[in-house]
Amino acid sequence: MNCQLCKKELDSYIEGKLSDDLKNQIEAHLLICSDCKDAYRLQILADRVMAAEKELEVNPFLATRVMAEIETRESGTVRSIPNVLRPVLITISMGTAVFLGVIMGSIPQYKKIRETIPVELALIDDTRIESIDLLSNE
Amino acid sequence: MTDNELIKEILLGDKEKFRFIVEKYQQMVFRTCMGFVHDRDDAEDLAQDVFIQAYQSLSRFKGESAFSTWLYRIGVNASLNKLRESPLKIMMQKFEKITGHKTEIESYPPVADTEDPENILIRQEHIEWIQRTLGSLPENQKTAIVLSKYDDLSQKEIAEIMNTTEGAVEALLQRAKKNLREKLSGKGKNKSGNP
Ligand SMILES: [Zn+2]
Repeated sequence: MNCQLCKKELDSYIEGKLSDDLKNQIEAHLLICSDCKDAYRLQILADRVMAAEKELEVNPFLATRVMAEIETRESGTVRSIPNVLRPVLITISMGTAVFLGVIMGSIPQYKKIRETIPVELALIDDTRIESIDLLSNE
Repeated sequence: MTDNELIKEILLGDKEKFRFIVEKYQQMVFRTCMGFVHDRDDAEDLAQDVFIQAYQSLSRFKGESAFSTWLYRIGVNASLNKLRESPLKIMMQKFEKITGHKTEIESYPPVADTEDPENILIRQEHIEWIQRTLGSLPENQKTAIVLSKYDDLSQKEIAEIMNTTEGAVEALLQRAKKNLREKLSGKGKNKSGNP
């Protein structure tokens, strides 16, 4: 057993994946080689740090946080639209919704998806509305 | 209800059902993010971003891969972006939040001279040092290591997430482990000479 082979097989050794023969050779080498023994200890240490992080439990309120954030973003984008521009947005949204509705309505499996379109349009159009707003201020 | 059925209903407008998706995958996403950022608060913020991103692009999930694979990809990309954004800030985070291993040992790496691996105790500077070393790996090696060590995924599953071959993942993992070993023993040792 040389150091190169020993270090290469350390990971498998730690995971208990080696044959008895190779395992015995590594153990014999670790007894006499301080360099490989250090490498072995460091690897154990790294594995322990990773295992400790891996075992951390996620905050059980994450789902609630995510749903609240989605809600805020969706309602927030609608509320941020300036009142003056609302009729414009509604017209654009309705026009696009009707247009998409016609297209999607012709495909039976997409019929129900129309219900989600206004939200997405509000998201898309919001950015456009803001840039229009900036332009009109000049 | 399967993931695909749930997603269909969410896309049809029942957005509250997305909560089931989050509850099912939150531990998985959090763990992956943790593997990259090594900070509980950052990992949770990141996990939240991952789910919101997934929600917003749900219509682009075509069901060609497992939903978890798709979600892993979003998680890996978001984590890598976060690290690119401010690696220094993330590496300098307060590490004491992350682990219950607070016992002291006498020596700095190489660790205390004990035959039994179970007796190798970890202290704060070991943790920081190992996290920094993990963080210093090239992105693709780091991704392979996180998916292997934190998520216990097979090389086949990692290959699918990383959009590469199993052989490439095997090579990446080998390089990552070698890199890690060399970086750790190079930096941590106070002895010199290689037999
Ligand atoms: Zn050796």
